[in-house]
Amino acid sequence: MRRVVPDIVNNQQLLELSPVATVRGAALAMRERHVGAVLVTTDGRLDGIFTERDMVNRVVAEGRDPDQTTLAEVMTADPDTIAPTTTAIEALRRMNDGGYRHLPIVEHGRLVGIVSRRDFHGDEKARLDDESDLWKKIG
Amino acid sequence: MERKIVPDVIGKQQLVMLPSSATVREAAICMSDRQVGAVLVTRDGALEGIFTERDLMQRVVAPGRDPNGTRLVEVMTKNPDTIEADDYAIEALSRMSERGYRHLPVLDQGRLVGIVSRRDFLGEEIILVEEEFGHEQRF
Repeated sequence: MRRVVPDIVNNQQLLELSPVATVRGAALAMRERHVGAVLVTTDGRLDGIFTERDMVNRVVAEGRDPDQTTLAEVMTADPDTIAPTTTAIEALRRMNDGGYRHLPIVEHGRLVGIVSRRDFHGDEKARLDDESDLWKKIG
Repeated sequence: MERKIVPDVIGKQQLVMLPSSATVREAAICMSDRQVGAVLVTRDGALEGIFTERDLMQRVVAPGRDPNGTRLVEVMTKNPDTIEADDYAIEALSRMSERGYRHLPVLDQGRLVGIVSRRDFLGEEIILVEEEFGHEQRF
C-alpha cells in the first residue's frame, strides 16, 4: 500500500518563505519553481500555507498591494497536514474533502514535504493509457 | 466507461465570462465570488481567451503589474485549446494531464457551452487510486 513518503514524494526541495515575506516575493518564487503553493515557515516549523487561490481571493480581489502585503496577513495559518506514513488514497481523500490542492507533510512537528494533486497525475495518466489501449483492442 | 464531456462530466453551466477589456482586478473578484479558478474571455459569446489563477500569479503579480490597470487582453491565453461537448471524458483528462492545464473550454459545434476543470474528475481519480489500493490489498 502506497504511502505519501516515499511513494508519492521523496527528498523534495521545499519552497519555504518566512511570514514576513511579501506576496510579490511569493509570486516570483512560485513562478520560478513552477508551483502553486508556498510553505510559510519559521525555523523549519510550519506557520501556514499560501496558494494561488489565496492570491486571487485574499490579495487581488480584496485590492491589497502585493508589494506591501506580507504572507502572515493572507496565508492560511495552521493548515491541515498529513504524516509521512499517510496512505496515498487517504491524502487524495483529504484533499477532496477539504477542497485543497496541497497538503503539507509534517513529522513530529517538523515540516518534511508537501503533496499536491499534481503528484497523482502520473498515476492517473498511466491508467488512462492502459484504458485507451483497451478500447483500441476491443474497438 | 464511455462517458462524454456533455452531459456526463458537465451539465448546464453558468459560464463565468468577461470581456477582454475587463481588468484583472474585476476578474479576481469574479473568480472569488464564483469560486472558480478560471474565467472565459468572450466577445458576443465567442471565446477569445482564458484567464486563470496561474496567469494572475505568473503574468500579473510576479512581474509587478497593477491589477486595476491591466486588462485581460494583455495577460490572457489567447485562442486556448478547447474540447468538443461530445468528446469522451477520458480525452479531456488525458489532454489536461499531458499539457498541464487545469481547465479546458468546451465547444458545441463552435459555440461555447462550458468549461471542464480537473476538479470535475476528482471522484474518478479517487476511484482509480482505490482500485489500485484494493488490488494491492489482495496480495
